[in-house]
Amino acid sequence: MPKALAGIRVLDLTQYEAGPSCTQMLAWLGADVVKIEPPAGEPGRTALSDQRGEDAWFFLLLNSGKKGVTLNLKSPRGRAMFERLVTTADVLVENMGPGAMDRLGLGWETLRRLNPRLIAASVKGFGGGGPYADYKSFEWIAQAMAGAMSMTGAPDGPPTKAIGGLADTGAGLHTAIGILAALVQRQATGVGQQVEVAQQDAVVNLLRIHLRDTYATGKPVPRQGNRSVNAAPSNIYRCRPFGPNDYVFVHCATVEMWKTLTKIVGRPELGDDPGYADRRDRVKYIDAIDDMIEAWTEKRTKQEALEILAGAGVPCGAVLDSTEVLSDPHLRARGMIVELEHPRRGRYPMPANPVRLSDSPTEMVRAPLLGEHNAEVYGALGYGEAELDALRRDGVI
Amino acid sequence: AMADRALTGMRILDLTQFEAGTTCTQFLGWLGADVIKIEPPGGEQSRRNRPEVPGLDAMFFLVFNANKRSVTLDLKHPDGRALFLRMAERADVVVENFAPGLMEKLGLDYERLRTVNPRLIMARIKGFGLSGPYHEYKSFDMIAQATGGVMSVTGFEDREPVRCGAAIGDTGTGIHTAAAIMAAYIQRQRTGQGQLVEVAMQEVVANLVRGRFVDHYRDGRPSRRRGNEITGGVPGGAYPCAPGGLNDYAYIYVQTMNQDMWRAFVAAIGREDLVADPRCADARTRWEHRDALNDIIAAWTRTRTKHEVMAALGKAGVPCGAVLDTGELLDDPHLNARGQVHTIDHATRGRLRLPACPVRLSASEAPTTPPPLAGEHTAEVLGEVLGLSARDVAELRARGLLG
Repeated sequence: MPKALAGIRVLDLTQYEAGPSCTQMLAWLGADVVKIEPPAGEPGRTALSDQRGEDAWFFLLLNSGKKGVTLNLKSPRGRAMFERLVTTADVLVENMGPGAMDRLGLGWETLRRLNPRLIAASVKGFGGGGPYADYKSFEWIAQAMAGAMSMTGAPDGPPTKAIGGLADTGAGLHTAIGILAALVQRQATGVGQQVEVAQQDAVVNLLRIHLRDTYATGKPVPRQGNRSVNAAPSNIYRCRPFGPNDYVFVHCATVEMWKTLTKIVGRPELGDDPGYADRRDRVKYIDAIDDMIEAWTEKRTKQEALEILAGAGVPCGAVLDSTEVLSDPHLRARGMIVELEHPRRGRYPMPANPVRLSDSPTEMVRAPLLGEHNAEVYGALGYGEAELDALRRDGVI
Repeated sequence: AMADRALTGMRILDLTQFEAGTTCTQFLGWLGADVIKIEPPGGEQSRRNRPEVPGLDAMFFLVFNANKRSVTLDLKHPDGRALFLRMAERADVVVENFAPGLMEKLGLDYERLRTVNPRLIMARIKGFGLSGPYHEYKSFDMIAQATGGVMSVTGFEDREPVRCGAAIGDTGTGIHTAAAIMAAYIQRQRTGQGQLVEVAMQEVVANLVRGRFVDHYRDGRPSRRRGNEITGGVPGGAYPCAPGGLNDYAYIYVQTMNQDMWRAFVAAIGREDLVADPRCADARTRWEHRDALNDIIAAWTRTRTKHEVMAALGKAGVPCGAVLDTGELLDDPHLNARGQVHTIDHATRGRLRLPACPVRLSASEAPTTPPPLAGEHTAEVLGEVLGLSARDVAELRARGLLG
């Protein structure tokens, strides 16, 4: 099968989410990703597990398509093996705490000396330079420090964290972009370079749109719950049977969408009323409009409302919970949710690659067991069976 | 220098509008690609999306269209489409995020473009993709958030689902698309062939939220909304700070498995006595006594500003983030020290601060250049790409093809 990144080898020193999401994307695009873990496994595999001794679901969601090897980077022999791997690699990715790579003696200058073609990518909380460089970060810290939390939540409630991996997977994808660009540049220059992404920067990039009101008013963007200050209707509406996620989101941008909606909910006269033609003008009547729509949605399930509204060209989304996402007929039909088989966890649904290339189909392969590919990867470096046994016994792998 | 950038030599015809597509091409522009934004006469719609100053380009447009050149061209006119196809012969990438079916209606789908240039990479961004039961449905950022699962887990348990403030459905999709385009470009260097790239906003959101599907696997139940709390974490949440304004909070989290971090935390807040407190023996007992302990923590944070809290805890190695609003963001000393907030001089809007390229490559500088005026580079680009003379361009303009 053709692959966009065939022949690109990635050494993956990542842990938890921000790094693994990057290397998982590279694996989906066809790179040979070798995940290097300490002999006990990376913390995302072990510490976050719901069952002692079993790989965490968290790990399985973020490490598909990779090979897994174990290696003790702190032992001299492990270090020597790692240096040999570096000479075979195109890319190295890490998201350790600030300064950890330097403490391991694996700073950029060392890596570059070992392999001048190497692209070394780092995901950091706040990035090098600047007053927060040494501060620790993780998802919610970066959301707080990038403005995301200030604009999420109800107007009368506190700042609220958004439960998507904005800073983790978001930064991971930004890093993948940096790596791909560096690979393109290397084809012209023949040499590698450093790629750095700070989580705070990545989240700022994801919300730059909302800065526009600050430019205009000089004031912070307020929390608006699900409503918009610029458009009505733009909100969630309750549906049967009134469970915690039985809602649809409806947003009318154009006058055509508004006309269609008013016909569907039985108020066509409002669709023809010039006072209601502009979405901004409709904000004046926001409460009455929201009541009108909810009176209609309350008689239907969110799936029924979705089919009728979206089918008629009105932008509408059912608020799907995580279980419904994994079983959504559209995502299943498109192969975005696939079933994988794990030797210890059994069959499980897995969100696949959201990026489709017509000539580089994504193969979904479950995450590796701890050290599953030790023999294969180290064998290719020339280590025999007996040597590997000795390395295992001595805790090097 | 231009030659020193990662994507130097990549020519992109940018048909994008609003956000999901424009963020993709802006990113590729930062990385060195030659991005030619092709707009209808009068300019792309988002130039007029709530303009703060009537008649001038809206901030909406300005935050997404740096590092591009602008050409106006009427694609509804057959001769305009013919001109576009001639440009496509000389391009590497075409990106579009029109409503479902529009490119087909214009006769500019991938099959057509491929016949004029087999090396072309065409990237198509759609709300629900090009196939499947929802593929004709329209989408926006919040529609993608609803159907991608993020809204169901954001907000407080006793309240309704809440939209995530950051535009993960739109800009998130642009980022995924940029990655795919570069992968296809790398593949083309081996195969000589272009290909079709497709990204659906619903799927992008599901990808960003995959880490929160854990509850489903564990219990077979939907993941719940949990407000700001982190189950098992004390401290773990947004704590109120002085002077008590809408965004005067600091988010603090001490990793449950890290007892050293807890000791560093209590030392930083001057409560070393808590080390010996039986309620604080480990993360589990802290969680059992979370109400009392969170009160103690909040009593400390309330007497300090969020910046003081962050400085004290950040230096102690405890993860802590001040909840910055959008104004504070543009003023943030760290972002400014790193050049992440960049000041440009715009022809009509004057000096503006824009967030810069969020990815740093040591050998590819990413300056932020001002977003172009509509059609600013029409004559320059048509001359450079198609060899048209000033007279040719004037003639096209007279025929109304360029606006």
